[in-house]
Amino acid sequence: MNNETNELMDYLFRIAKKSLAGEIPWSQPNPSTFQWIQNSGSDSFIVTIQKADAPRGLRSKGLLDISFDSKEESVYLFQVQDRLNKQTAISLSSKERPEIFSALDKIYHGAEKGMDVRATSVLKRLLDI
Amino acid sequence: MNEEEIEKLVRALNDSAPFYTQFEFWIATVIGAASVYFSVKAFKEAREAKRAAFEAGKTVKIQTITIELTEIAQRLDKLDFNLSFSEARDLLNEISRRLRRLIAPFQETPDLVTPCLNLKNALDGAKDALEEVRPQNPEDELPPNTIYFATQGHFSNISGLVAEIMGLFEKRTIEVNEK
Repeated sequence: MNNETNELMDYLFRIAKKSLAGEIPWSQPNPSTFQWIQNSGSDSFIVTIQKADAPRGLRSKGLLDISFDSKEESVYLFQVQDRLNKQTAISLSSKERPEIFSALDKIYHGAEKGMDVRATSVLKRLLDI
Repeated sequence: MNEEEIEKLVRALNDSAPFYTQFEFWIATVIGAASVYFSVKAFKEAREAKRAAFEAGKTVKIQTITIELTEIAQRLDKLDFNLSFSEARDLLNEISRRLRRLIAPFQETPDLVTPCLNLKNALDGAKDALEEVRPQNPEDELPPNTIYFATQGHFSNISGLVAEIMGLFEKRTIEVNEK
């Protein structure tokens, strides 16, 4: 792995860690997608992490590396979209880049757990009132 | 008939030549045998023609199904990157209904049992995958390729299985034509 990939992985793991702690306000627009809207100054970004199941017989690790497998496996798509001009700034798929699978898997599970952490906190506050 | 007449008749029978030595008998026999031979041959050919017509009917039916399967596979291969949930749902419902109708008569056919089962499982898998991206709020700003990413693999898998069934149908057509 080169330096750029290491740096990218580092940022992805930081997002995963913050997600797990419930510090990132993920929402769930559909059962397999988590979304985080981040506003910073004049910029506004929509971050999404989506999970999909690759059906059997279609396991692909890039255009020229297609292998057949009997088990279903999850693939992740991490995207950052500029909210104003609707342009996709970042699009990372574990299907095309298997080396980032673990980072995206951690972000997805972090978002799931983080939502639980935030829900627990809200419920706690409700009961404390 | 008295005794004298019977004697006369016996004498006449003994004096005349046996029937099989007569030319007319053999002509009649040959004509009779030829008639039987041609009748049996005609029966066999009629039976063969009936079987061939039945097989030809089956071949035409299989070719019609193959054409329809080709059209479905082509539709699946031209999936739009910005596919919406409702478009994907309508496409899946349509191809699921058509494919299940087309493969229904062949589900018990020995060489098609597994491909038909795989195809039905793939259709169910695609339906489950689509449920995973069912929007909960129409106002959510999701990336345009969300539905494509969730379903493309499943549609591609269905297309591959349809191609496999088409190949098996084509093999059957070739086998019928070779006979």
